Amino acid sequence: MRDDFAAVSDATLVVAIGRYRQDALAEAYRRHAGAVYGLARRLLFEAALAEEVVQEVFIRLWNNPDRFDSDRGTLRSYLLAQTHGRSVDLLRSESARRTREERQARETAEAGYDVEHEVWDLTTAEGVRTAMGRLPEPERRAIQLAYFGGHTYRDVAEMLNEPEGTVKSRIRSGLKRLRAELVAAGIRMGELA
Amino acid sequence: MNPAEIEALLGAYALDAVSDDERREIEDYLATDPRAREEVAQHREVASMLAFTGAPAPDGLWDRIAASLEESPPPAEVSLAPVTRLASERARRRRWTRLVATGAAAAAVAIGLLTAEVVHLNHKVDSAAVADPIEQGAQRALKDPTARLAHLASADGRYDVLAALRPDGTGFLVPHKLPPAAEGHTYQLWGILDGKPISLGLLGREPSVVSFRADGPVTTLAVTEEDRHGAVVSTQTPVMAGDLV
Repeated sequence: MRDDFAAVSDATLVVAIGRYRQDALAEAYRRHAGAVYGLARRLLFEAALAEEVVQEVFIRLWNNPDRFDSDRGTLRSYLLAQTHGRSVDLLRSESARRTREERQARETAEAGYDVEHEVWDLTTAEGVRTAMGRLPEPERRAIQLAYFGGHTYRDVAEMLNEPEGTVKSRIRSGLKRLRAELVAAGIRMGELA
Repeated sequence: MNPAEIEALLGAYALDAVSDDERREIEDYLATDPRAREEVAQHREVASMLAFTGAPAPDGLWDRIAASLEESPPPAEVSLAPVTRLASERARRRRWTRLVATGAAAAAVAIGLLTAEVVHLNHKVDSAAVADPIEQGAQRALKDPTARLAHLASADGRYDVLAALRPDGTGFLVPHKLPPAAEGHTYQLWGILDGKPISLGLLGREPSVVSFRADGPVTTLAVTEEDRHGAVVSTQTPVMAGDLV
């Protein structure tokens, strides 16, 4: 039954999900669960928590498909934003009980971040790696700590010993610069959906 | 924060790197500024490229999701309005505050009767078309010991509705007494969050059991009657309100 949806767009899938087509949700899961799980796992480290987030994200899509607006981004981008938000919530609520050692291990892992090994499509991986490499180091570091570390910009400012205003500007300008670099590399947003 | 300060935070907001208070303020701003919404969408699209990790999802996870769908209600049939803060003119806020206070008092009085009402409405739901997944969801929510309940009623007794809100933000309204809205009008549901009303959706002119979504610590529910397109900013006095307990 899933084959019915194998060739349709993500936007069509979401319409079908709104009509209670579980096979449409299964197809959305087939397309995007790997990315959703990968991000949740990267942020949370614990497989069980990551699985909970995946489950929650897809059930939320089932319950509220109208929250996805195809005019404002791809389904994958939407699901990953949901995943990131929920993971950060969990991360911050868990953080109080995490040991300092775990936190330090986490920082070490972030420092060793290698986009190329994380990216699904090698062509895209190369483009993302190159684009990240062209960012000024302070912008790259601020984005990595905020996005993959789940830190607020205030935390990032403290970690980097920089003014808060500087860090929030770097995150914003870095994202804009990264987008321009990706476009210049021929990678169009939304192609990955 | 002023608009310039909010604009400066759009990148951090897109990465979930702001505080809860800042997030609420930014979301209010986004509701009024399409250009800012577009910028956030672009930042999130870029972030999704970074997040393009390909770990296969664990075996059996889909089966668990599919199984849980049986316990989860399908999407609401109502057309949900955007979650937007109402205008904050002092006079209207006072009116809302009074009505919310009235609703709270009514809820306090009604709480002793709530158990009996739930039983009554459970019976109503049980005896209705249980094949309707929204009614099934309402039935489960009413029986869920972790769900918060609200009794929305008007002083004159014309309006009487029970609401159940589960911890995951899924809510249901079960009308007991709810006359049809005037021709060309619709009922609209509002939640009070941090003392501020936000739209939770349009209910239609003659709603039966409906589901809604309420994220965040909503303390009170209220219903207004609006023209058929609903209102982003309501100028109406709620016809009924009640605290979630």
